[in-house]
Amino acid sequence: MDRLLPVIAVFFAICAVLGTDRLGRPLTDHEKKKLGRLLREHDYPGARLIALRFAYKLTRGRGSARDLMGRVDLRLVRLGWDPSEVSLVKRLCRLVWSEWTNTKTESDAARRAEENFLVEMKVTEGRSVPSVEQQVTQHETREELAARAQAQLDRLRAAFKAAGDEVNLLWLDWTMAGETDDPKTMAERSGRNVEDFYAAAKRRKRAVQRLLAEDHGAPYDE
Amino acid sequence: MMRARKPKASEIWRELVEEALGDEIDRPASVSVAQANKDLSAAGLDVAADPATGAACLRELERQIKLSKAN
Repeated sequence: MDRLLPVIAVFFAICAVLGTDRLGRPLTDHEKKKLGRLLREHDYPGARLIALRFAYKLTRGRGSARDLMGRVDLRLVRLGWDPSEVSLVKRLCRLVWSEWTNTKTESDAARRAEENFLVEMKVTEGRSVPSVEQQVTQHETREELAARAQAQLDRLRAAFKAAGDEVNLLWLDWTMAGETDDPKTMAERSGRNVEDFYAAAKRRKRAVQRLLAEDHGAPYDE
Repeated sequence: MMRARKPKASEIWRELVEEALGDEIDRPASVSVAQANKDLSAAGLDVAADPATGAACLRELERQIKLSKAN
């Protein structure tokens, strides 16, 4: 099995399609064909239908759900997709979520629709870490979101410093500078093992969960 | 992997939150195509006739892919 792993890794690397944002250029004809073929193989119409249902749940409007999906399609092309990382349906639903929270307007109608969705989901019970839904019940403008995000990253940095987590401090510096977000590249540049960066990702996830829990006055269960 | 541009703080934080709360974000992806079809039809969205669904959506995306440009 171990001998097969490099072959499997190469296979998935071939399958992944980088988006135009990552590439910094338009897709080549070969890449366009590859992405189209990949989407057909992974039942894009079915996955999109599920994502459209999610978009409708969030927007509560047929037109706005379609608009949202149009933006999701665009982001899929811009950001790309790696089937070895996440299924197509999850990728599309995550993009729906991300695009929706990115473009969330200040209108009361949008906020009410969002709150209706939160009530419907009812997924927060029994969780000490606040749910995604709790994260968006706050009514924020784009500028406020940017300032809050920066403040959260500052808190995260302070937590890494306090814990002496040098690997995550490196990750934060390079990610924020837009230099790289790839663990293998970071490992090469820092002279550390790539496993250090995978372990750091797990600590980072827990650190974010801890911050979110603190924000909502909830204890965090390690 | 190089990024083509410096990410915004909000983008980085959003990705971190999505990672931290992954299971909940992925919950809507767990419904079946049949259930999605049923729910959308109940919401008055004629899935069969809607150009935003079915094979037409793939053709539209392939059109967008052909037109794709960076940023």
